[in-house]
Amino acid sequence: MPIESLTVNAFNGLYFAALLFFASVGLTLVFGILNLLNMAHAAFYGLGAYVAVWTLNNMGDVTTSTVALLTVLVLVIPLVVFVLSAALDKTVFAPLYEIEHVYQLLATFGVILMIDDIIKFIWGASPITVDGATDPSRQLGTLDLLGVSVSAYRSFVIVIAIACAVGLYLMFVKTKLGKISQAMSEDYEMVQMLGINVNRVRVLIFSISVAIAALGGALFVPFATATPAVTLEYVLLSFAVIVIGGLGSLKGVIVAALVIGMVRSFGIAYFPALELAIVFGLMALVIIFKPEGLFGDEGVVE
Amino acid sequence: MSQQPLLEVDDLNVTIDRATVLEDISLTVKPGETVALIGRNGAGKTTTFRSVMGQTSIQGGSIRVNGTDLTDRPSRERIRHGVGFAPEDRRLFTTLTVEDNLRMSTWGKGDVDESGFRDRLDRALEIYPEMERFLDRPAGQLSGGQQKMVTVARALTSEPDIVLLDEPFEGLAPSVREQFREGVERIKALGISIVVAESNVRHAGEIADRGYVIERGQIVTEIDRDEPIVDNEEIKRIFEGG
Repeated sequence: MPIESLTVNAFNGLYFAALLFFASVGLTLVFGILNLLNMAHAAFYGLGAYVAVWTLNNMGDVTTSTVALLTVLVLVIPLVVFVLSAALDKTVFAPLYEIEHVYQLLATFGVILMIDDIIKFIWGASPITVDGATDPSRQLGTLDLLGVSVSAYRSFVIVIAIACAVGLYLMFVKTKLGKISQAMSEDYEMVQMLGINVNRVRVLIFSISVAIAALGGALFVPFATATPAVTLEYVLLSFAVIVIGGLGSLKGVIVAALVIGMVRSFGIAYFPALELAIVFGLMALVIIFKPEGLFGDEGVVE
Repeated sequence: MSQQPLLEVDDLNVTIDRATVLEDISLTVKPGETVALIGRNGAGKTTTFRSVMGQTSIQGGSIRVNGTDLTDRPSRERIRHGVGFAPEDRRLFTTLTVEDNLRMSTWGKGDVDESGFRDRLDRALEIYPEMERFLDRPAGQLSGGQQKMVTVARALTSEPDIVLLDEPFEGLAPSVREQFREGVERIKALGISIVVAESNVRHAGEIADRGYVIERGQIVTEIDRDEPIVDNEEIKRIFEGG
């Protein structure tokens, strides 16, 4: 295999892993800490994508500055979604924490359909894309990586994903919120009996998780098209990530996203027709030989 | 002179999955007292404690702490009103360090900053000085006896007026049990009230001023200060079949 081809495929694998990380890390955190199996989690990735296209396309009259566009994608959209998801947690999701996982899956599947219909109602069923003038991926151009020209924007997305993973890890091991979250993942009731307001922690963790999914969707669209199918695709892929990595493990999400990202990137290069079959075949193998996933028997940040 | 009770449980009724688990449970604890709740496994001791901590669905009765009715209030209100709880099965957060486990209850009560926590940590170390050696170790790496000490210390770092100890001596080797008992004596010396749930009559007799005997979810007798717990007839009937 030529070194250039290897570099390009590895880079694309990293980029895809970054997107998968954004789409699925919140799913595993919400399950690991709050015991909620939220099938609708990656739907917020799709929602983030649509909101980003709409926002970028409406920014053209105000500014086309790359910094402003990236700020909107990385900070403004996740922040808005963070606030909205706090309200959603208290209304739509609050009753779901008390029910069994199978009912959680059914109920949150309903939430996917609701989000899907809301997207179609607002933006229609046709694919939408970011206009050239406000597309930061075009503005940033390319970078040289080991003699190969790669997208500077995709490199930026990979860096943001790494920063997000490091930030989450530090939050869990260094902050009060993170330590309480770790404790809740082990013994929710005992945390309550120590007097901690678990509802407040729950809303924060849920909102952070959903905001990261929306961040992923927002970062995804400058290079791609927002379609209703994106939501479903990432719902399925994020489940593959957490099945392979193990539910509730931050390390599991990182490793599984990297594995799937690489497998998919090299699969597209060499066996394009089998791209998804390889990913879900891998998931099936993990279910057969390690049903709890690669790191499913460990804590959130072990 | 009659003091206002610190803890008043009055006609408490709890059902779980339609089965009556506690029936008309009443008990009081005054400031500075150590009271034993004695009964066999499954008699309702842990459910009584969980009810006091706000973790059961109460069908009837009331729970008052320092005169405030907390029956329908969440667990955190009970902590703020001065109740601490050390569960039988320890329930430490195994991935967190011992120090962070202790810090959790000050976060729960929310009344001190980091320097306030340090003061409380020092006081906890006066009760169980052995903890100094493993403060920075993950709680999951400790022995059973060490975990018991941390469980009690965690209940104390919220600076409670009353602490509920559920089977504190269970599973401890004799040498550790003695060390542990000395710690309980130091807690008593601080004037903190204790309710200790015990299935071992001798252990209860060693530390409690008086006691209640619980059987099948009901208080069947109350043992006064002037009567040695081990000599109580009801105790003999339940535990010795006499």
